[in-house]
Amino acid sequence: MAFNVLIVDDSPAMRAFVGRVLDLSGLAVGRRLEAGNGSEALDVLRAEWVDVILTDINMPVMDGEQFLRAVEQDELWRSVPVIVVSTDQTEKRVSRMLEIGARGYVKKPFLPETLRAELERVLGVGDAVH
Amino acid sequence: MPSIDTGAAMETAAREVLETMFFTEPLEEPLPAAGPRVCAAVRFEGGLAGRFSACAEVDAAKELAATFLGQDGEPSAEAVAEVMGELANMICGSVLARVAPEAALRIIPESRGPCPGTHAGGKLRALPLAGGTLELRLEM
Repeated sequence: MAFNVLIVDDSPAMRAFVGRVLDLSGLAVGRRLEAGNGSEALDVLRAEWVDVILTDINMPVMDGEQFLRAVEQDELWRSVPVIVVSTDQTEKRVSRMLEIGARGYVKKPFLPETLRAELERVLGVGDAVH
Repeated sequence: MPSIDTGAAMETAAREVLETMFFTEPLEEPLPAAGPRVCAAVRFEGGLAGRFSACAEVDAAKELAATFLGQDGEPSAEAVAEVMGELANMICGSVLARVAPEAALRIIPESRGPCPGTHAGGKLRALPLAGGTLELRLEM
């Protein structure tokens, strides 16, 4: 079954890169949705069904932490796995995002295989075991 | 100021970013300076405060952008500047993780576009790429 992905990042270049990684991953990606910040991402969630969310942290208007808190407060959205994709590599930040509800954390820079494996893990597809 | 060799940390971080997300690696021999450059700068604040910039000669910046975006044709100037911003962001994050792994830091985009001119100060590292030199500067 194909899954819909929401990519949340204020950088169009990074959204394009992540999209390309998804295209080349061999995963059954259905719709690829994009948002430039957390607020725009909430608008997408109100309008579309999404199976997994990839979000940056440092973004204008609504950052990734605020966005994740909003997702976790919604009864329906909280079932959607969120993977944080960020340059912030500090253990403190990783721990906080996982405590709030993120299911995974990918540090930039990342190998395409790393993102694919994390997606397989949180979606329970493929043969990734972590 | 951390006691770690920030120049070495910059080079290691840059190599990591270039190899994993730009599928390229620096050349062995330095290149002569040539032509205009595209620059991107970020500042960081929190446990440490400072500024990091990445400047590449235009051809090198175009190659990096085309590779990152997976484009066959020449990327637009806007796309090149955008990718240089991401490059600076990722290298800076990777450097800071090495220099101050415990610090809670926030990286904020500062500028991107044609290089405004020679900038002095901070720690400098130059990496030769196929299309020209990538110059990194860290001030803190």
